[in-house]
Amino acid sequence: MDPRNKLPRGTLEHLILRGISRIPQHGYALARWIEQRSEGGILIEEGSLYPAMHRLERAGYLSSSWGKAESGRRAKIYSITSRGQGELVDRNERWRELTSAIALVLRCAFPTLAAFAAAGAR
Amino acid sequence: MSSNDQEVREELELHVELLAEQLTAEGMTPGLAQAEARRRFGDIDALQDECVDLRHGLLGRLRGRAATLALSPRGYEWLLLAVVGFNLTWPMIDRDWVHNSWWATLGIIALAAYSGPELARSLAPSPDGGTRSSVPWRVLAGLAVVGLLPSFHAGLTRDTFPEGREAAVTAWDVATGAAGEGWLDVAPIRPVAEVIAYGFGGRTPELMVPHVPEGSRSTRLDRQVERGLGSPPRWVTVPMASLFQASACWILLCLLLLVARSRQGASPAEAVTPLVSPLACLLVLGPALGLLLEPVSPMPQGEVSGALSLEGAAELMGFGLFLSWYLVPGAIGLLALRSAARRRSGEPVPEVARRRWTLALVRALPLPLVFLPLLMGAFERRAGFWSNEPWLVRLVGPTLLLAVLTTVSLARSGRASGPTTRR
Repeated sequence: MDPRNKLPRGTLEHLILRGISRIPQHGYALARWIEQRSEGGILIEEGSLYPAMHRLERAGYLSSSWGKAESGRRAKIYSITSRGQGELVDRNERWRELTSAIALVLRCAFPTLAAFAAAGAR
Repeated sequence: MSSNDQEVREELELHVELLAEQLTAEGMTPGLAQAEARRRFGDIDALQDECVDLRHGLLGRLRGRAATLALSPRGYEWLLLAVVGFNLTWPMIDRDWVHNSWWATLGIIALAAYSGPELARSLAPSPDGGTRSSVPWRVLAGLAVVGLLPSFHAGLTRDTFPEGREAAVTAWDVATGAAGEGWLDVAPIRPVAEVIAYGFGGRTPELMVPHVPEGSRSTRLDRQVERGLGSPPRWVTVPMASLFQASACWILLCLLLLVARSRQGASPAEAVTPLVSPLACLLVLGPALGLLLEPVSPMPQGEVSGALSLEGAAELMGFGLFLSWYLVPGAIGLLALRSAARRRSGEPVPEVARRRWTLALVRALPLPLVFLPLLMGAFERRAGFWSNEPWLVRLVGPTLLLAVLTTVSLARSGRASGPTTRR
């Protein structure tokens, strides 16, 4: 996957909720985890990550407290709230529905495009 | 920096540090890794603002920033630049005086020495290919506008209120100790003073005609008094005049900041933050209150007396001196204590942050010199003599010291990229 691809709107928040639900962590660790899990396909921009985390915290989906990073330095650790857990479940469900619907549409579209491209090549 | 800002800043700085460590582990030198991490992170100040807004709302940020601006070296720095820059630009514009103002050229050179290094950096392409917006551009643009506005206004009032203008000019000459030959040295503020004077119950042009001390060097001033302008006479003391000047500079620079921040996408409420600074309020309201409270009484002839307004002005001046002399060293002391505490706890002191503070503090140090003319003016009143020297102290002293200290500071800091150049 090309890491330059832009994430669809709202996806970053979804990924953050997923990452934080796994284990309470700070922003840097979360960004690295997402990159590793996506095998480098998703590069998180810090300019988007932190505002998104603060938005989620303000919405009550995340809570934060000061703790220690792996290196022993003071770090703000985010954890998911019960409200955030509910939101994550909702988002998972909506994501499955959306991707299924998109897959259905693309399954129809791709053969047409392929045929068109083949005709052009001839 | 407010606590709201500090928390977010610490969080973001940690990210940069961890990213730099990762890059170092991947084979980069520590210096390169740090620079690369900052480049990848982008505009950390803007991100900090965004996060603070998201966490605490705009009002929370405004509260923190207003207090921060009033107490920070940056606030002093802006004020200092405003006062010095105001004095520097005017003689270049005013054709009546530009021909014999060799020292103005010196001042311009000093200003260039101050702005030059940062200006060069701001012109240089940033690592990501764009050009970095930086304050020096705004400062220079501000100085130009600040210099031009009074000129425009003076052109208006010259024709509209000739008598009032004459009276105000005369008052200004005396008030600033520049009577007779060099009255234009404080010209930038004069139209502002006129506006304020006109606004006080329509008592102009008699409002601001002062008493002329015996032995004054001003023959022109004598003529003004002989013509009968000035009943009832009032004093505009030297400290008051200087505060007028500072006020006008501050207001105009705040307006420029407002425009600049608006262009960067800030909301009007956010952009207006500098205007709600307590220090700004003091500077703006202080002289106005002084004029309002100053009792109107006949001026004693043949002797020097500034007692009517000197006390109130001295209080303001004392407050200014307090800010300059105690808060700046106090900030340095707190910074030193914080650094020491960090060293004791084994935490590394962020090099870039430390350099930025040092730079700002060094620039702020000449600020007390801005208040020195006020003090001198007060002493002159007490001692009963007039001189044309305050402008020299007001202009050349702060400017040269500012230029020297800043240049040395910049040279010692080596480079000032990233947050150092963005203020």
